[in-house]
Amino acid sequence: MAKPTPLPILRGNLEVLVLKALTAGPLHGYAITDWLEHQAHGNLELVDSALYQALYRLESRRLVKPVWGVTEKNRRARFYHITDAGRAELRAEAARWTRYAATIGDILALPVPATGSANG
Amino acid sequence: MADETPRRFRRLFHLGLRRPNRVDAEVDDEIAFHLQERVDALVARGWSETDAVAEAHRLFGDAKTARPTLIAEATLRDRRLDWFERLDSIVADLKLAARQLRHAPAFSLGVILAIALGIGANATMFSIIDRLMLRPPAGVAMPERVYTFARPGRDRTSSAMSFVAFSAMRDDLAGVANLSAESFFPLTVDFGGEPRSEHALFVDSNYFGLLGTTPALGRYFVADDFTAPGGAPVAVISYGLWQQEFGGDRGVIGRALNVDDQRLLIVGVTPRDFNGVEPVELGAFDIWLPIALGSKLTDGPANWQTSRVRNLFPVARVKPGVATSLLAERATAVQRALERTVPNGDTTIAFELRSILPSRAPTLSPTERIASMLGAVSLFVLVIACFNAANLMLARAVRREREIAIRVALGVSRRRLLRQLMLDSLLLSMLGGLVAIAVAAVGAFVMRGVLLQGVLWSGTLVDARTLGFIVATAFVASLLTCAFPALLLLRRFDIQHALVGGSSRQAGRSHRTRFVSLLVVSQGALSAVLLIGALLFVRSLEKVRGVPVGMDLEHTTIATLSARVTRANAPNTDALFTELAARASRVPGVTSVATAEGASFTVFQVRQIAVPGLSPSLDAIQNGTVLRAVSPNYFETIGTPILRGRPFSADEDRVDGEPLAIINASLADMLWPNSDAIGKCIQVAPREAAKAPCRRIVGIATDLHEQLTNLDRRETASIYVPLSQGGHIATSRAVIVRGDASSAIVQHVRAAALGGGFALPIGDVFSIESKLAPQLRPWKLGATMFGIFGALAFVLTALGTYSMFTYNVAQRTQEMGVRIALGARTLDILSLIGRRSAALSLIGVLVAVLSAASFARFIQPLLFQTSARSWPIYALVAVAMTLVAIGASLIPAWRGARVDPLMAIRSE
Repeated sequence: MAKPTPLPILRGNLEVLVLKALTAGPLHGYAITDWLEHQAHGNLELVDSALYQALYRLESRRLVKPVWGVTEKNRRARFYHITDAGRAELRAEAARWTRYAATIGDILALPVPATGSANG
Repeated sequence: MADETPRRFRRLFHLGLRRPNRVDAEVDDEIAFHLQERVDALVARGWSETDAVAEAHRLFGDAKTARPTLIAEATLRDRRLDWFERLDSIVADLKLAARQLRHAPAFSLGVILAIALGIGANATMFSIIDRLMLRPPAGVAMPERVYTFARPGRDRTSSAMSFVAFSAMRDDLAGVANLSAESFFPLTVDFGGEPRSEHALFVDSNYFGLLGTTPALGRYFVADDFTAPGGAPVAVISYGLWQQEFGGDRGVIGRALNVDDQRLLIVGVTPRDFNGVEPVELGAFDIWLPIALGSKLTDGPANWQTSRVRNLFPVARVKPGVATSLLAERATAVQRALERTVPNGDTTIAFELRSILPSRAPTLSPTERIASMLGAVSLFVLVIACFNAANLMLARAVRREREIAIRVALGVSRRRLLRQLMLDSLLLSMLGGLVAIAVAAVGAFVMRGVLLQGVLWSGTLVDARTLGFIVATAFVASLLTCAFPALLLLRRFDIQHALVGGSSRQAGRSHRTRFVSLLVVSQGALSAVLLIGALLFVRSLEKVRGVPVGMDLEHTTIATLSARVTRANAPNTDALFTELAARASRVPGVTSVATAEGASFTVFQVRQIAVPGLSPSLDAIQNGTVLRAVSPNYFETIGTPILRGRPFSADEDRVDGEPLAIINASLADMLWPNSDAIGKCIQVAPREAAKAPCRRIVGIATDLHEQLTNLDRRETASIYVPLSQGGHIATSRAVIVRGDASSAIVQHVRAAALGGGFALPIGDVFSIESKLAPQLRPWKLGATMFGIFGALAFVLTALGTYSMFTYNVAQRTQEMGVRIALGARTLDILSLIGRRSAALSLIGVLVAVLSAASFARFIQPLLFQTSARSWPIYALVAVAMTLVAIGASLIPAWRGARVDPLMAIRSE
């Protein structure tokens, strides 16, 4: 079966995904990318630089806090921690998304109304 | 490395956040790391090194834009974060300041109160000065183009002209200005309640249009109102009157009011605070009437439009681009041309323009001058208050020396410390400003009700402009209160000494002590100057009150009948006056009632005089005289003493009786300087006095002073004749009532006149005292405000002295202990401290006396019969301040003398 084309990530959603990625613990930029690629199973179009843009924006809103650290390979990297404000934002956004998706889904799942006369 | 230290510590040490080019390096680092990880992962999956690198770059994003975009984003991020941090630190400082405030309530209260009083005093003076001298007349469009006229060196009343003259001027100046005219007249107005006297403005048809004002309700006058025969019976009322008498009822249009028995319909209401072009000091004008109604309602000429009586005051709006000098020239030319057509015309008449903006007035009224001076004084009070607050702040800073030293040692920058100090004092000053609003409201209330009664006070007690002023002053106050402690502390701050503490602080301490002494001495000098000013004004007030007016102020009331009635001179006018006198005499508390034509503060008649044997070119004869026809008991009723001779007797008061006269003392001196005037005779008549019968002088009366302070003006000559011989002019007739206390009598007489069967058509009922009160206003204002400010400054200085010496004694605890241990007695300690405070206060007093003496010439014009260099007053204040200063210092000295010497020596 052919692989379906990856979907572009809608504006603002990347930041929410990044926040989610950090809930388990601090990660550096590449680790976040890796985790997202893994979780998306190829369904999302991920551009690395876009991810760092999202990270910087989150940082400027004080939703994540970067701390320089060292990886297992002894490389210096910026590890991003989610802040309390970040967690709150994540919860709020997740709730909003769920409500949105449910509404769209409900409308799309409505049965087609029966027409007057059959074709033919 | 700097970028490894967490942000927090970097902040504390103020080592500076990232510099711009670091952002580049950081972003590059991060990108490099990411790519490296990606390459590693790909290689682990079997990719070749070169392919992996290419793929990693591809996955990263567009080669050209990826890096710049990230750098831009990172820069933005850093800027935002910096901003957040700055905000955080300011909030932290504010919270710290608030906490310290709560933990030292006495200190905080002291500072806030001092600042509040200083700012409040200034705000009160500002609101007065603003209303008297700065604000343009309310409701007038482009008031800078509107002018009134006056002859050079005189006030607006000198521009009075007849309608004929006004029309000529209006027509001639049509190209350069719009002209309108107004006239003032007191009328009795009845809204359906109790009639009262109002000053009405009679205005020409284009008056409201010229001023560019729109009515708050209804309409203004239209052309028809002026063309109707005798004028349409319409009136426009003021906003204030609408609120006060009609409760703001929108149905007021079409309601009627009675003016001198004429029924008029209200057609419009002026906007709030609108007062025409009249200065606020004259009070509020509440009724506007068409000029055409003038003949019906006043005793002016029957037909205003053809009369030559000068009773109109012009108002002009200059057309754009026209120079005021041109207008003045043309006005002068027109008037001179008119004067040439009239016999005995004044062909040297000249007009100049006066702006209606109070800020452009050529001279200041006495009240305005005093208000300005008080404004300057209140600034002094603010400075004193801020000095006091600064003193307290300094003392507190000294107490926290050690804490500050530690913070400096840890790397807090001086700038940060300074900022904390400023936020501290800003918080205190703003709180002080808040309290100052209450102080200003109280001050405004007192002003409005007591000191500046009668002045039109527009707006609320504390309005927007005053609030703005308070905020601005609070800022200035905060600068003043933190400036000195800041400068002193940070410039000479020695960390080592502060941390170690102990007596090694001598150097810094003496510097501080000197500074505090300077503070207190200058406070004391300022307070002394203020107190001197206060006493000078109080004395002036007493002197003004003591001016022999020539009438009994406290017990005399005057009542007149309405002008419309007296002008008609109907046959029953006499009966009405008799009835008025009768009713007045029945009022309980009334001791005597008299009738007069031409009494003070009523319409008077001027006459020529002649004396057989004296040259008609004598000044006294040239000036003419005021004629007063009086009933026999007039002098005892109004309280004018007869110096020599006697008053008229009852049987001398006959039309066919012998022509008699009583003249005032100044006139007698001028006409017969070397002999007694009694027995001589004098001729009085409207014209050609030399042909009139010569009246025998039977008495000399005291001079009258209706203008309390114009003592150097040659007293107006007054000639009294018996009432029946006076020419029987009802319009100038009045009933004089003497009773217990004039204020109560006014109400009773008015009630009696209006009640009792049928209401008499009264004109005005007033006490003489109320007519003179406005003249006392400037001095009352000066005496009260200077007194309050002086007392305030005095208290602040006493407190300042007390706190200074408390600190001083506390610092010298060890020294005290040693002295006591060595045998000093309480008295010795007291005299030790007392000598110091005496020396300081002497210096302060000296400075005060010298300043007061040198500033004397500024205050002299505002005083009355009081020298600004009055040594008794200076001495009194000097002694009082010195005693208080010494007393304030002895209290802590007493406490210091009671310490246990051993504990004192061991203490720190």
